Amino acid sequence: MTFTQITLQLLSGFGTTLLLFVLTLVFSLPLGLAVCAGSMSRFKPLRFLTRGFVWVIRGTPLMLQLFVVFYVPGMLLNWPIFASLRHGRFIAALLAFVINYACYFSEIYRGGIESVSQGQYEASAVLGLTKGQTFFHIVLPQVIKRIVPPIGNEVITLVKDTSLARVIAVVDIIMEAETILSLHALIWPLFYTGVFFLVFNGIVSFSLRKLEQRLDYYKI
Amino acid sequence: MAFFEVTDLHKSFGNKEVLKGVSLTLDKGQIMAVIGDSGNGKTTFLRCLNFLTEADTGTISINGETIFDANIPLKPSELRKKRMKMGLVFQSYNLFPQYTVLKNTYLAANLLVKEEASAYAKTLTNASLSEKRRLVSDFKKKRKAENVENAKQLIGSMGLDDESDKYPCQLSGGQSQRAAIARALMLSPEILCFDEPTSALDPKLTAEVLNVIKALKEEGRTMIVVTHEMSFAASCADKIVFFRDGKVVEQGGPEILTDPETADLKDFLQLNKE
Ligand SMILES: Nc1ncnc2c1ncn2[C@@H]1O[C@H](COP(=O)(O)OP(=O)(O)OP(=O)(O)O)[C@@H](O)[C@H]1O
Ligand SMILES: [Mg+2]
Repeated sequence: MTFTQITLQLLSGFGTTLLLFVLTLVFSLPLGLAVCAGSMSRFKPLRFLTRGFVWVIRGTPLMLQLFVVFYVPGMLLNWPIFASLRHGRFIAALLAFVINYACYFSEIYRGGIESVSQGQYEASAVLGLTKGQTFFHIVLPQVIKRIVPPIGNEVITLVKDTSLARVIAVVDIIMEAETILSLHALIWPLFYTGVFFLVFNGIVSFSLRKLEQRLDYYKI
Repeated sequence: MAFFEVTDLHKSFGNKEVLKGVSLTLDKGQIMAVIGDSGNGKTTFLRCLNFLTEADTGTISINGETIFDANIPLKPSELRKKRMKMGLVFQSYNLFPQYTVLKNTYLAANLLVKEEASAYAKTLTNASLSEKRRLVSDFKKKRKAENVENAKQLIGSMGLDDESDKYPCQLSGGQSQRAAIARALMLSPEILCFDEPTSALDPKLTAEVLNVIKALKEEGRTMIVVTHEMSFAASCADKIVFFRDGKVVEQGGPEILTDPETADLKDFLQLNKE
């Protein structure tokens, strides 16, 4: 196998990795907001339930959650939905990632919202702002500024976490490299995958830093 | 009936009674200085006037209109309208950090434009739909431009022309407090309250802010100032109110600062001289 062939084969695996990355963010960032609303709800049972769920998800390994999502429907409902569907394994991985990351994001959102000082709400109230106006014009911009750095850290972690999907046989870049290893007895492609992660993470970090700089025109 | 009248305001937090029946009056265009030791309910009193804290009993009225009555709960929309008759300047400014001084000042007024526009739309009974839409959009634009103009004027009157486009993190304490005053004036409150507006400032910046308050008095604004600046109270206030233990123990003209009637105020003034 030539270098180009190997690069192309690894890239096809990396496509899956990227897709998992992008779709996880697309779904988990908004879902995190809903989880956050639940964990800050004034309705106690909902609040406890949500916080308990977040605690479980954050307290167990993502790898375990992947297994649970993939196998439990088959065991419980006698319906191995993810094993039978064409892209079932990928969907199972995506589901596990979305749930996991939504929980992490919800905690970051909560921290961001709780860090806005009481004085900001009071100043808004005295000026006759409605609750909605206070949230969208006063609170949310400050929350966004505060959460961009921690969200960025999670995003970088996600780039690397995507490689966990292979435990339920989602063919990612590392699995492609292993195939090459077993078929062609070449070990270096396995190490070569690191370059893909590094380049991608470089792009992500750079974009995040730009975003932070754009929000840097004021201090809280 | 006095322009501003508070009767029998009570407020407890848990079983701790912080306001034990505060009644007072203030005439239009006057400054009331509220003095008293720490923890005697001055801030709680101002917060009740601005509905940040809901008093347990009592009434507040301006110009004969009751804006608060503990026995009559208000809908949020009514409450908002009434609370805009009062303004409050905080000790810690509470400017919105993400907006410039200018936007801090006009923001609240611009957010009201939507409601003004829908009220205006109701008056356009004869206009066609497309004409109505155009008129309403022109109206909004006009009102917003007026608000920005008005905000600029207020910022100028606070001596902040050069700071108009700065963010709160770029301002000195005195500038921040003057920006907060401009913001509070934007909605033309009937009564502007200040909670120790200078206690975070050094003497020079304190003078800056107090001069602004004096200038506002010249314009005929009605104000209530909680302060520890006795010389300011003596020279500017038309009325002094002395709080102790959740009650107004003594009130009167500035002369009570030199010739107090009650032992409590005598005591307080003695301690505050040193
Ligand atoms: N939200 C609250 N919950 C419980 N107690 C409160 C609350 N707000 C104020 N208090 C109590 O009410 C009392 C009066 O407080 P307040 O802030 O009104 O005093 P103050 O006269 O403004 O004092 P200072 O000069 O220090 O500002 C204090 O004992 C305070 O602990
Ligand atoms: Mg106070």
